[in-house]
Amino acid sequence: MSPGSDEAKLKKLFLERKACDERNAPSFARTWQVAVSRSTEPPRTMRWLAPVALVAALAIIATAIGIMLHARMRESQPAQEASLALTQWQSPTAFLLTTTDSTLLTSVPSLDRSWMQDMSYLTERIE
Amino acid sequence: MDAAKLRAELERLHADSYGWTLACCARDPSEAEDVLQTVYWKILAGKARYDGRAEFKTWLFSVIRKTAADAWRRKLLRRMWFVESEDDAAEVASPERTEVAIERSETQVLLEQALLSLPRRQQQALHLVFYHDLSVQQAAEVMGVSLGSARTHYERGKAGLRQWLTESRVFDEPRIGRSETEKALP
Repeated sequence: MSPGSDEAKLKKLFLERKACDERNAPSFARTWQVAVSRSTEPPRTMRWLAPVALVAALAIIATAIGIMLHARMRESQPAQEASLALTQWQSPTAFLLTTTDSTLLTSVPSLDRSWMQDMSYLTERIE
Repeated sequence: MDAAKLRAELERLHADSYGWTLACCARDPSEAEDVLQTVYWKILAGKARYDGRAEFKTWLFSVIRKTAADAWRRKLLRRMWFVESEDDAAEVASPERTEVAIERSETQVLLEQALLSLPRRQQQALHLVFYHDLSVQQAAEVMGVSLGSARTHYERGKAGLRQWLTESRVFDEPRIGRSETEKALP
């Protein structure tokens, strides 16, 4: 079968289809009339809906972001508490590492007024 | 173009416009009528203006294609939001649709199935060339694509359609004759 004859057959099929469509097409007068009545109609009074819808959408987005942040904060709170408990943990045998004189060894005695008086008395005696 | 001349041109091309609108609306007659009304309204309201750069027919067909695409997008959005209008429900049981289906021959049904198996652009290219007798250049203008692209769509579509119709034996001898012979066989 040659491509040329195929094209002619395709063309014939499409023309049959065209004839069928033309029989079922709505009349021009009716379609035109609807278009004319649509063009003479006053503009719809729903224009205020656009800014309202925009504000509503923004409010919904803000609420969603707020909820997400709140949920994230609530999720991070127990983690903080756990890390704090971990750093403050002490071994149950930690007291064994402390001795009775450990305070003496780890602290420096303070030189208060009485000591100074004793020292001055001694120097006087030496002289 | 003045209003009277515009109306006369639209009236002259009405049947062709309806055929092209049907092709752009997946052969849905009620949607095609609605889209065509919207196209006429756009022209009347000055939302679509003919500037004389292209032929009137190719300009009108490209307006129809764009309007049908908008309508399809709106329909898709409605479906996405699960809002099915009463029109959509009524459309299913439309008597007009049933009449058209009855009138179509078996070959036409096969042609429709073959076209539906092709990509949308290929369907459009074939429709514009075979149904409306436009050149590939004019089809490219209507489809809003380059000539090379339109030619590719046309050639691929034609090959696909030819193969489909050959497999379905539409391109064989008349179907009625063959079925009668088959009936006669024991």
